[in-house]
Amino acid sequence: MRRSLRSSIRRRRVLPSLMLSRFGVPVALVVAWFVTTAAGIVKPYQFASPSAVLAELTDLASRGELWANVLASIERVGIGFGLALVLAVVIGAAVGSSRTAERAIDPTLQALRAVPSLAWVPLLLLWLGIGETAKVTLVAIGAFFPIYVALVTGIHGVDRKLIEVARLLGVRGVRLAASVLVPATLPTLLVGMRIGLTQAWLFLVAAELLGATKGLGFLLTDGQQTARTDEIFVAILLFAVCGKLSEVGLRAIERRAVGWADTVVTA
Amino acid sequence: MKAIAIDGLSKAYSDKLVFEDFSLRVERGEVVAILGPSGCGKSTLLRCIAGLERPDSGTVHIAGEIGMIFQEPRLFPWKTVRDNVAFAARNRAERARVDETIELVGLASAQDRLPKHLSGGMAQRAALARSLVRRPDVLLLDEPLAALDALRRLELGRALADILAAARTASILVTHDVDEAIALADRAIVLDAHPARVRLDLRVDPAARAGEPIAHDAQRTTLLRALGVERARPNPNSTTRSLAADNSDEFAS
Repeated sequence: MRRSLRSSIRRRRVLPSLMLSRFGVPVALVVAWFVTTAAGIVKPYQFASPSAVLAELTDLASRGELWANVLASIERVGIGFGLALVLAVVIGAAVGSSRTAERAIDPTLQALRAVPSLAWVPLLLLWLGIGETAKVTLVAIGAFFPIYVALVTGIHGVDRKLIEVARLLGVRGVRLAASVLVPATLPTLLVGMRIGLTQAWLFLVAAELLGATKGLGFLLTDGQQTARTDEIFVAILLFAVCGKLSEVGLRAIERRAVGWADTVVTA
Repeated sequence: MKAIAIDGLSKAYSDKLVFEDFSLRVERGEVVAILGPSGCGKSTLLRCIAGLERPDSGTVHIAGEIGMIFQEPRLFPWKTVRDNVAFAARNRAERARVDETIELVGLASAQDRLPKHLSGGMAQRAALARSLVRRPDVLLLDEPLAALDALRRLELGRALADILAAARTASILVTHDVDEAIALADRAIVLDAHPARVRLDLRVDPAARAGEPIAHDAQRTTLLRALGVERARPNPNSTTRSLAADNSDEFAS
């Protein structure tokens, strides 16, 4: 009783300072932004005011362009990431579980991984043009390697002692894979997926900057060409929201799926 | 027919001979403790019997099903206690035994917990339950108490003594604890290292097992001498010794 009273008192006293330390910097930045733009210290074409950004946001939303652009980007990330996930799981499972497959495939993939992925852009443009295929492919290239590397590392890191227990009980083949290998690999795979998704958004920007008629990257280039910083800020804001939401989503899946893990993997 | 019959078993790693022409017979219901210096090949021997490792030559005959527990519980961390135990069940009869086996090791109230929420002793009990679900004819125990603190050792040691007595399995207990061997085993075998040979094959005096002090100390001295330990005085800190001294306990049910 006394302890709960004391802790509630302490919490009340701690809360304001906690709020200050957590939200102080962003709030100060927004205030500074507002003051400098309102006082005319910076020109609107260099730095749009918060109200202009908000107006642009509602304007885009009312014309339905907001959703169209956001959806176009989400679709590219979704398809590219999905493609990367399927490929990484198939190839990663083969490389992780077979010595022969590892010898045959892994060195090549490691060599390709060493190439900064944006270096593929000229080739992709030559091969696939500037259409959707090139964009989705670039996103997939970006997302593939983190997932692949995480899966192979995860499979190699499965506790051999657990496999031994299953073998002692006569569990082999598909059942061994389903009941031991898959759950044991899941935590590492999910971390790889989270990094892969971040990469997917990164490569989406690159893909959309190269020429797109819709999407968040299109808003960026359009804003640049028409010297409208409010549009650029809207795009940046939406990128932040989309990236954060997809990460929060994957973290939620992680908590549900691998809550059994004794260590919380953060990366 | 013997429950375990090992004949002429040999095993070498590159240049090191682990054991050579090793033979052992274990009767049904008999508990054999294997003692020896660390690295003498005790665990390798057990792994060869379990089929986890292939001996270079020799034969191992096991009459029936094998259950094995290790120094670590080796529970699947994503499964609850109950699901870990049920993992070993292959058919309806074995699935029906899951509950009573969990009760036997005293984990009924913790059966829905994940391994990360178990103490070391509880986790080892869960592992024991998993190995007992199939009612094995042969139980292989690789230092099952070694990773536990003194109190848990005492507790689980008592439970293990009762379970082994009730299950009537042929058991091989690898240990480096002399008191544990006296408390749990019918026979204690001391091995030499490189290659592992039987230096002493001692039938444990039931009086020593029951905790009768003079008999216990005599057996203790014999085993420690065979192990080459000079100071062969009783260890006042020993917990496994009182394990035998006090047989009536809460785990008997």
